[in-house]
Amino acid sequence: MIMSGKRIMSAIAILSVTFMAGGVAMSAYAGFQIYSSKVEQGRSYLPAAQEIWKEKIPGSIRQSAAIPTGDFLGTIYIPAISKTVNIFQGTNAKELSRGAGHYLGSVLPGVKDNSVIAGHRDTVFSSLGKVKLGAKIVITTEDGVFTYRVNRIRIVDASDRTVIVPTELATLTLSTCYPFNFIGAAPKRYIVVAKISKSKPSSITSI
Amino acid sequence: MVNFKAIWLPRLLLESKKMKNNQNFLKSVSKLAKIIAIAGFTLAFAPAATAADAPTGTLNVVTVVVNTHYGTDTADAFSFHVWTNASERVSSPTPGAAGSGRAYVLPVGSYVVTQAGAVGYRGMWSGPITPGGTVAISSGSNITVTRTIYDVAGFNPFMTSDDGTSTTPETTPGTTSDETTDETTPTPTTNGGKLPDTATPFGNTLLLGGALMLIGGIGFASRKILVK
Repeated sequence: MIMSGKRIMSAIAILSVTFMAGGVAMSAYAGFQIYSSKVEQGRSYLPAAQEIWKEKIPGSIRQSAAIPTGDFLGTIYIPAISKTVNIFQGTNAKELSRGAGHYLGSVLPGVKDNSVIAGHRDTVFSSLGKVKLGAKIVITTEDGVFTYRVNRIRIVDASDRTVIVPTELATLTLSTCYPFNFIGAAPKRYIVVAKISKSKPSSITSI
Repeated sequence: MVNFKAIWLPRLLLESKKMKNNQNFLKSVSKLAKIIAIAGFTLAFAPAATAADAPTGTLNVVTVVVNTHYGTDTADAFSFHVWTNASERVSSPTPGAAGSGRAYVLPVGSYVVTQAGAVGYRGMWSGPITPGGTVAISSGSNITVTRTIYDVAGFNPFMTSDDGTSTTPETTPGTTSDETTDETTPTPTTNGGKLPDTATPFGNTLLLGGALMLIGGIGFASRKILVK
């Protein structure tokens, strides 16, 4: 059975319109999500959190596992790129859409050992590639203000298992996808490693 | 004792005699107390016996420093203030003391005790004191509170270093390997953990949506050409 030219034209038209409609819907959804993330990431949780932190009982060391996923942990400030990013507990899509995520299996910032924080390459860590060796990174959490200095930058495979490892000294590891402008699932990870240089525990000033 | 009998005993008797007739009883008691104290005796009620002074109680602040993460500070490295109503300081900063602690004789009331000291330590109160350091002193009370100060992992020994190059001692002074598993030690970072997926799907979705619109647009615009 041979279709007439008119019918073929109609079929192509319907298919094209379906494609266009689908494209508009997908673009609108993605655009809304990107916009929502930008709004969420632009929110400042720190002042309110600091008020709550004042009420906390000065204790010993907080365990990372004791902090619920999704909780606001603090902020990360990178003066070299004039960027302040909120940190949330966990690295699921939800947390990463709100800001940077603290890897659950790592210690909290400021503690001796390796604290791992991840973020999206196209949002919160889009300028991470501009951070050079020796750059300052300041983390503010309930436990205090901790200043780190970048001492290593690595590019590794996404499956690399040598980044999230215990360390002898207090270390901060930032991770994001690489290449930064890659279309699709980026095959590599951009890793910034920093060692603590100054620390100001909150309990000393709050009591 | 010879001196006491010869010099102070007559005065003591004189003051005792005065007490009977003197309307200001407390004043005389105070004088008596002073005389006895000078003579080498102490009276527990002496400071409280004057009319001007309010009743007092004793606050003992014991400082316990727990160094399990390379910290080396001792109790006297931390100083303490006692505040009344959290606004007025009633004592000079005094260094912390271990053992039986440091005693403060204070008029009855509510006080706030604060501690300052080296970076890299976190402290907590225990005993009849609030977490914020507020303590109530009642007449004649003898309260003991303890400030336990832990060295925080990650701060020592490089808390004064600005380049992170200080080395960590091979062993923790004064501790055994068993002590590293106490509650103050954080759970170590996972060894060989999988890196988080930091690729947002939205950029790709936006791109795919754009591509679909482009294909649809081209198809729609060129449907007549395609049919020919």
